[in-house]
Amino acid sequence: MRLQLTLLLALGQVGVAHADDPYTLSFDTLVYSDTDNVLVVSPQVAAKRALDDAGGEASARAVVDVISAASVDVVSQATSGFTEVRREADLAASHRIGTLLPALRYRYSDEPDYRSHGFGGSLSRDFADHDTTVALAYDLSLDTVGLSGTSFADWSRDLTTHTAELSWTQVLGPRTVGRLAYSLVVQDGYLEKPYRYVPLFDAGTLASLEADGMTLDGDNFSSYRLPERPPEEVPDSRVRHAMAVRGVRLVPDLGAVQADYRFYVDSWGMQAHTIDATLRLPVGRFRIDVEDRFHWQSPVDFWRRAYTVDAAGEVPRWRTVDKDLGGYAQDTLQVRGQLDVSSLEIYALTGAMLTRFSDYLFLDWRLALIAETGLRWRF
Amino acid sequence: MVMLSSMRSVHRFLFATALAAAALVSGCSRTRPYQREDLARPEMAPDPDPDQAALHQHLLGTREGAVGGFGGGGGGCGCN
Repeated sequence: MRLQLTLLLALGQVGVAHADDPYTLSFDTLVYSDTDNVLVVSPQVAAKRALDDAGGEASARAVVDVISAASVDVVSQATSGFTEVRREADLAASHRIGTLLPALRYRYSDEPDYRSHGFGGSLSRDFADHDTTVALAYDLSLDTVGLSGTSFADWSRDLTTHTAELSWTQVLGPRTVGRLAYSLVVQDGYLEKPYRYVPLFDAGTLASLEADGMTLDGDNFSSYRLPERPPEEVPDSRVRHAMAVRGVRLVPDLGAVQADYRFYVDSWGMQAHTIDATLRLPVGRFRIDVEDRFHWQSPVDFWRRAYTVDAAGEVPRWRTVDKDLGGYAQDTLQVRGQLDVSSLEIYALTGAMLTRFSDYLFLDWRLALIAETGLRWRF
Repeated sequence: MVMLSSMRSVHRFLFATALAAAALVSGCSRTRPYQREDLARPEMAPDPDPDQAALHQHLLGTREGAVGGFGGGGGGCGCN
């Protein structure tokens, strides 16, 4: 029994309740605030019950996002900010059958202008006396995009997302665990944001500005833009690949070091590299985690700082002002403290995220502060 | 031209994935039960807290153009 539990822990299922404490209640609250006037408060509650001693469990999770935004890409649309509430609930169940661990899950999320149903399943299997775990997962997300203040019956668009992930976790030695994961995401449907309208410019006007040594930016663009303001338009399908490598190694008398690297590429021409390093320092019942995450992404192929109309008056077919489709470099530094007291685990996290946009008309940089706290109660 | 560029990127991506898989295979060695004490320590778990990870992936998923690879995530959101 003890050996079995040890093996389970070694394969990364530490958060799973076991037969002595089959129930786990979790409460988390995440607060995100940035210099672009976005504030998000996300309380989350989750409950789990262990169904066996080897990773099988039934779980339910609910999270609410309270979003208040007056970001530059909202305000630049000549609208004021908005406040809205998004709700999400998940149900999941898994049960160990020999070396196999099949799982099923369902998710529903709802906000005034967006609804999403998610269905998923996964299957993992242990090999080589639990030294190796291979997992395959598939998720289908059926989304309906709406317009705030308009019923879904009057205006809505569909978006279907297929996600497949293959992961391989390997014990590489008495103090080292590695993992390799590949994700494939195929999206088909309405990928625009219905509130985004793209300012257009005359190529001659931009050339004159450049000759005068002036730069088009968020403060002066409205003085030079053309009267037309077409809606954002992006392709209706997107195929996304991500490969991630993770290594965790114990350093005696110090703690554990975790390193991650992810490479991402998609059919819209975006590439991204993400490097994440975490140091976990246990001190008795207390543990401190220090994490730094660096993310760099290139813009999509059709990204332009300023879209121009050609001599024939032709508007670019694909156009966007979504900063997540542009290029940027981002660094996130986080410190997390955790205290284990009997069956309670309490943590608090604080962090800062600095983003430098490489070619975004409305914004050059953004600083975000992140705060999070939560507890786990096992009984 | 754009398609060719994307295809080349995907081929490079697949090559890198195969290389990483080969590196992982080459690192494989059987670990004896008595050698697993360190592996069982909470700080050694590749996913120490799935609930917190889900919340963080949700935060990043609505703020990055590149997604996937670390599991979890999901939930359509039109958030800015």
